[in-house]
Amino acid sequence: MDSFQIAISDWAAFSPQRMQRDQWLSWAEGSASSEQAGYKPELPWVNAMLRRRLSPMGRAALWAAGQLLDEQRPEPVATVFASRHGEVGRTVKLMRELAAQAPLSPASFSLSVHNAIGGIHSIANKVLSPITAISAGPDTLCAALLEAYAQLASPAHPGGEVLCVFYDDPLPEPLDEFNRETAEVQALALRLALTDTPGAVPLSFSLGEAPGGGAEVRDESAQVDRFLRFLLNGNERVLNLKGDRRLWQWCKRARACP
Amino acid sequence: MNELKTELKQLVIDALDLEDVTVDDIDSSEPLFIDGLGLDSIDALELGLALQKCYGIKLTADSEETRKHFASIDSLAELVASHKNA
Repeated sequence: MDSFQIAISDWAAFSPQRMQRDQWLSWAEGSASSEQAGYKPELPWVNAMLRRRLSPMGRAALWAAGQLLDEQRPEPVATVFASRHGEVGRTVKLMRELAAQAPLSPASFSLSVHNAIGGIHSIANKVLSPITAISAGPDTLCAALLEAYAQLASPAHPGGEVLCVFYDDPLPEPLDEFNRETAEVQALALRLALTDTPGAVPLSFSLGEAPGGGAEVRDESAQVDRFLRFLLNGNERVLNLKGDRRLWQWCKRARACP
Repeated sequence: MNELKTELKQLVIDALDLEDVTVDDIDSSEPLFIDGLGLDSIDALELGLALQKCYGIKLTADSEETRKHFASIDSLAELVASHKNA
């Protein structure tokens, strides 16, 4: 089976409970929450007239992305935004208005599309490089990382880095019965490269058939949570993520990988 | 008329999610779009919807007349007042 090599050179994560690196590091080690809830992402680099359009989840996503962008580092050659359900809160509200035959809010409609957050990111940060928006059911996280790999492997981008941003909220009522996972991370941003740099976490991944064929995916915690824990916890060397009939196998390359 | 202008300023703030903008920050005669308050085309559609919901006013999108009505709070107040009297 083919395996692909990639390195994660930096990360940032946000939830209303945690936003600092050391908070996430102790979370990954299994420490209990300090219960210091109520963080709000501040986005001073986003013009107020643009910022007002962002939901709390959109703000979390752009906050995480913003932590990995600065003038000292080269601009990412591409950005991948990934969310399983996107702005589902807005969509449900629009569907309710549609059912009641009420006129739809144009602003809400324009922001419910899957690339809306990436669009605001590109305006706010004057990003001219390609931006992709991905939703791939239970494969969302890995499909986005595969897209990042493909962008990095493109001859158009030698030696570049790709920014990946994941964001999701729990499904709102009346879809909440489909919430099968509990997620701690609201937004996660990663910088990825093909070559290992000092401090980067070198990974390899491969894709295989999921044992049990099309068996329903029932992970207890969200894949983004599991991936971040895998990334930050030095004791975790291997991570298997089950997608839709597929199994994504992640492995830290510092030790022997299959 | 001043009461109506204050009401319309509040409508603009609420309908368009203007963070940190108060009624006192909006000058009745200053342009609402691009310059002045800095609203954009999505705001124009959203404002049209709000006028329809609150006052039953239906405007044709992108007509020259609508542009005139949307110029400022002053011109919006004239539109709403004439609609109320009609």
